[in-house]
Amino acid sequence: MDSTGLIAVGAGIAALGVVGGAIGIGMIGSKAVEAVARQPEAKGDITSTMIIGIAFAEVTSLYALIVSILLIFM
Amino acid sequence: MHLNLNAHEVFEFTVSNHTFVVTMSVILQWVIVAVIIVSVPLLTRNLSKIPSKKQTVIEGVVNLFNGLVCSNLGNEYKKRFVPFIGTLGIFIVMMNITGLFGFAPSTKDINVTLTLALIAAFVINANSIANNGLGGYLHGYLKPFPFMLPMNIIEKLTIPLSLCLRLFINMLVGVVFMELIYIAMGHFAFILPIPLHFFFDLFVAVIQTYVFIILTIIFTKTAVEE
Repeated sequence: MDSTGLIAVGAGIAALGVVGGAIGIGMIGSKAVEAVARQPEAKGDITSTMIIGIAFAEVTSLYALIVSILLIFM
Repeated sequence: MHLNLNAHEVFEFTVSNHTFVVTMSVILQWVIVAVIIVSVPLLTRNLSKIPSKKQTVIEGVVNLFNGLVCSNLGNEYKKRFVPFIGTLGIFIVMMNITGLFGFAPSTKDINVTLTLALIAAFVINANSIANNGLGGYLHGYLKPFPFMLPMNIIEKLTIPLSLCLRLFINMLVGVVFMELIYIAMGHFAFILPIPLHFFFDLFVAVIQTYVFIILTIIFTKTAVEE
């Protein structure tokens, strides 16, 4: 039995996992903007810390995306 | 699907019963290495105390890497780490930008990013052993509580894994997206690909390089302090 349909459904459900990373990045960004608003002269430090936090939050949603890509192409 | 995500093999050569397959990623890396080797003596030819315009730009780049290493690790790491971090940064950013020249970036191949992540993990652990001694390094696995030993081992394994997958998937998503746009638009690909190329080949490339370097620096710092 050809399983192309089930592969497509599985890949679609796996790609829903990226929403966690999006919510996390949004929260990190909003806290960073609040911190800059409280103390504008620390902007460089806060920006670097925010980029590092976004990298960690993004990689878990990329793990969900790699599952989806592996399903489609293998 | 018309997309082919496998590495494009160009030629093979056999050395004493082992066959090495050379893919397009390896050839692009050779080209980048040749560009770096040829351009570095040309750029640093006549250094003088009163800097010319070209020398100011090069000094700016070196000061960028100096600032990154020294502000996070401290001044005693300047001699050993700045050449390594600087070379890694320039190499990765030049590999990621080749999308602007028509070639798929070499980091869309997981072998390339896995090697880079293993090199970074090797440097992180070796620096920790060199600073604390082998006994101190092994004692660091039991540091907060002895029953956290499995978690410390898993943390040492996920550091190179996350570095590898972060760079690989960001570049792969850019390549897949641009290929889909070019397949969909066919002969009419006029204006829409331009801002997408700008986003994927410049913005994501530079940010992912910066994240790779700064995470290597931060992991080195936390590994030494254990």
